[in-house]
Amino acid sequence: MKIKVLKFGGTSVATKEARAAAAQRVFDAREQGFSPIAVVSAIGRKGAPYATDTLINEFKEVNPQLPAIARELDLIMACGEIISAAIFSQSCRSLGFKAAAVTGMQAGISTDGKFGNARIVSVDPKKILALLERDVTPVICGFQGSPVDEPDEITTLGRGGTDTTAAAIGAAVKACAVEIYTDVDGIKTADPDSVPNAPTLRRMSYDEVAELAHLGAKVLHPRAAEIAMRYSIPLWVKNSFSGDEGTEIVSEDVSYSRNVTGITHSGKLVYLQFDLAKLSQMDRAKLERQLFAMCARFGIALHMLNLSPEGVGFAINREQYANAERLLDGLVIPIASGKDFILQLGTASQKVQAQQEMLRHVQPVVAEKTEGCTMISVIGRTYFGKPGVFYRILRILHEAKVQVFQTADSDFSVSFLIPETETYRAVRVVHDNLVPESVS
Amino acid sequence: MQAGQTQFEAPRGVSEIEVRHGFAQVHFVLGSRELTIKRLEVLKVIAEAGVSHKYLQLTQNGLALIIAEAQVAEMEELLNKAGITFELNKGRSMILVKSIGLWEEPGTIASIVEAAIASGVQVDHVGDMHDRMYMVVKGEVAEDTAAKFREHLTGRKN
Repeated sequence: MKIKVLKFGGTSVATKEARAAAAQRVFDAREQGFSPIAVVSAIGRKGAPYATDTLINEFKEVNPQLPAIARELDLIMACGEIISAAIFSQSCRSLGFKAAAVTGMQAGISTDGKFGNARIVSVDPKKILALLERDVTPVICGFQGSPVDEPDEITTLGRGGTDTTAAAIGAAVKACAVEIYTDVDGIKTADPDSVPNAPTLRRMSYDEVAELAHLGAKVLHPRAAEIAMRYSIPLWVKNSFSGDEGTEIVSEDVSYSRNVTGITHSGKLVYLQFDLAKLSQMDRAKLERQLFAMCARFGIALHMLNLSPEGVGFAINREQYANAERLLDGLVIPIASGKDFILQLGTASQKVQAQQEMLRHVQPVVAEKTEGCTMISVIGRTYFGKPGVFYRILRILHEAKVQVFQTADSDFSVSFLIPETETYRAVRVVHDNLVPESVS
Repeated sequence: MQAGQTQFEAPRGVSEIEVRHGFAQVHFVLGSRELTIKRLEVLKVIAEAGVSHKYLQLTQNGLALIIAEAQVAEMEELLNKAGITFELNKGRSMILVKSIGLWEEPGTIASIVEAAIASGVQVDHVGDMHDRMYMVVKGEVAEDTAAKFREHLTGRKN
């Protein structure tokens, strides 16, 4: 049995016509001798009646003051894919072949039980294989599974979870290909919103696509790329709405022909730069230890960390920033008897002023706060490590009058923290200077 | 297996701690006026001389970067010739803490830095990417520090 997994994202099943076109692809796969498995996302994007975000909003609007229980949120979020799978299996049957909607649990997907962001522990494809044996095409709900320890519960797999489902099912049934259908012609060298004429990459390695995905490319979730890499499953990203050949993702390194694979942007960040230049080394160490201990204890995710003789800087996701500010702004850090520091994020808040009024001996440690930041990244397996790369990109950004607050780099990528308002322009100018010469 | 890790998906959390030896940190203090232009001037000199570097960071009044120890003499000559003042920390090693999806793991980077500070080691240079965090420390303390991290962050002694 030659099994092929076809995953359809929200826009690919958003309308009756789109579902008919997607079902036709499943039909065509059958005609070509494959035993296809469909994996579907919830119908449409934000605003569509059964889209995941719509369901979450319905739930939260009941009482915005009441904290959402993760288990209940997972139940409602999972409904989007269940509705989608049931409707899509009907679309398949209307083309004259047998299909059955299957929940994540029925598909044998077991998770670690973490509501809202579960990881797949195992996949038992017994039911899926039995359906295929009977010539019934399974239409699997993406983004969900059941905890190993509590199989009657539903957990969701986090953002991009339907890609993860498709890759996991592909690995479990030893599929000869997993095809991810979306609304663009494959993986491009930049987000088409920034660079409308960005070329499509025809062949990429798992490493390249994982790096792109981690740094913000939205066509494929990094967890899916990692599973595909781990189990060596041939992966394709294709356009639901065109006959384009798409992007093939393979295990061998195919990046030798290009310096730069792509430019991405990601994240809405707030950058904090603490001025510690006037502190003694001992005081600074005590302060830094308590600062990081607080961030660790309360689960604040830090990015682009920087320690220098002048101070310490890091970025925080905007979604988390309110929590971080509640935690850190006005925090009094005792250093020694009669010697306390108070953290101040940006201009002194009422909380900081009140603390200073009450504890007159406290010394403020001020962090310069830069709101509205984002990160653009340049990815290329062979580019970094060559002399002059940083200089070249920083010069391009400087000439385009894009301010750079911080940089970070890895073996295959380099990232720049910039004002969010400059995102598209920065991506475009870096892309125009680096990519045309490198894509083959 | 740590909580949250699975056998099916790639493991999350800290997967590996590696020590790489033979680095030097170059730190440039350039002042606050026309800082961007001054940074570019320094990087241009280095680029035109064909010296590669990694882990560039923008500091409040300059920049810092890491080079291979083998490039120190060349870098010193180059910068002296160009009249650029700099501080050089030789004999450094790099501790790489690898963790897939590090940026999405709440509190992980903070806990690694806290562990470093608690160990009393002086960290000259630190940075992070989505899959790793690195710390540059004196070569002679790198292996011991990495062993402490390994035990603290992965529960493994070696």
